[in-house]
Amino acid sequence: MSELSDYMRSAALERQEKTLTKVVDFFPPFTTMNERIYLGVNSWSLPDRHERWVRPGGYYVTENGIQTAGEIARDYLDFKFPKRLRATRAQKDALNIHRSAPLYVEPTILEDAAYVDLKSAFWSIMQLVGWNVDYHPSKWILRGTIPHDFPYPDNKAARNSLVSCGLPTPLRMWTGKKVTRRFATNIHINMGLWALIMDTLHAIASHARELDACYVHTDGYILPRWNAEDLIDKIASYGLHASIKARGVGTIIGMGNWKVGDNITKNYMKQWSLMGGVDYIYQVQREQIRDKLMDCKENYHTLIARRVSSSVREYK
Amino acid sequence: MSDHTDTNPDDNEEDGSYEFLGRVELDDQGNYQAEVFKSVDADDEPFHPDFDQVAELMGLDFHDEDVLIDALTYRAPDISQTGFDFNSPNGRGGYNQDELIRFLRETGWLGVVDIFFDEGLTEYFIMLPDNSDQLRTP
Repeated sequence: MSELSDYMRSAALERQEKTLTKVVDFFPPFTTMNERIYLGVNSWSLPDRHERWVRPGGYYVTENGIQTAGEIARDYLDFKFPKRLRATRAQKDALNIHRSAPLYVEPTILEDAAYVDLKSAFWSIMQLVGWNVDYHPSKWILRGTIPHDFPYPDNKAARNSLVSCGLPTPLRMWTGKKVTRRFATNIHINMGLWALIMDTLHAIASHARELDACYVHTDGYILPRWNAEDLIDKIASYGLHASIKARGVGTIIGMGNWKVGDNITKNYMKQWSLMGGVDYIYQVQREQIRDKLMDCKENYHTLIARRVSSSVREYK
Repeated sequence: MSDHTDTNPDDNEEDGSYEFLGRVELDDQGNYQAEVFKSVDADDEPFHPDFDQVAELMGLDFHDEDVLIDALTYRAPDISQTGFDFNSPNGRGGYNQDELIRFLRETGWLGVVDIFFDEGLTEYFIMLPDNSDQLRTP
């Protein structure tokens, strides 16, 4: 067994010894409870009872017991990246600007539409640049360590938690009387990775718009079918993979409210609040990001060889 | 011995008023080169110019950031010849040239870090000094 799996096992066992995990069908209204509760989306921690409640769909049964995606990711990061990442002051200022995923909707009907999906966007970009990528927007992008040994690469929630764990998310706690918010200490703060992923998605979104996309949501694009292959080629020039997931007549009503061929969103024609135009795509230095991601892809094996060579030299 | 006042060494080499001492080149393509002469009227003091004097003689101001960056990046040793440790926590890279220059300017680490060039990756790498924690802009 590797050092990594030993560490992850002992971290999980330590948690389980301290806290009893219970699977509950649903979380009750916390206002009815007269005790402290740390309110997570998928789990609640009740420190006075030494219990943790998880809801169906919010946990994974692993060889180390029941765990949430966040716990798996944090244990991995604790082992692989135990030191806080560093940045220059100017770099921090550039990274602390609010960023979120690209969104664009232009309600319309396309006679011949295609829905193009960027495959595993967060994970794919992280596989190119590494978790601890050193990014200073428009100044430099230095690849970090690729999380190739992450033990749950097929668990989308767990692998995406490697990114979200790097964001300063406030902890919500019900005190028994009111909800408070506070920021817990997080040594895995990694705004650079988040910023680079968002900037890459915005770069690709702007290509999609140039190809007449009428819908962009994070890593999904609806555009005239005759432009779909061009967009896939553009995405490939970033070292990323995309494919057509649906084709046919496209009816775009609003965000998360569309139909392409037989592919229909859950809220199609139901939630009229999800109707109307949205435009949130910001400008980034596309060429710098594209060239660097492609370099990372092309140089991956050479760099691994260099690192192995350094290790062998040190061993001798 | 003549009492030439002409300051052009080329004009005076033939009649022996200046003694050719040697040639200095700073790069492989002979971009920064100088030929050093000694006036025969000068005392027979040994002439051992230090680096700054040679640079001054050639009109190179290494206090000029552009000149220094140009010289350091051009002269960066090939990484494969240096035993650069790609696993070292003090190693950083790879940068393209623009990224490297931006990093050196922002951190003020020009002249502090060692710069290497990887011909295979066509990227620059740097090795930070051990006290980089104190140097790095917080």
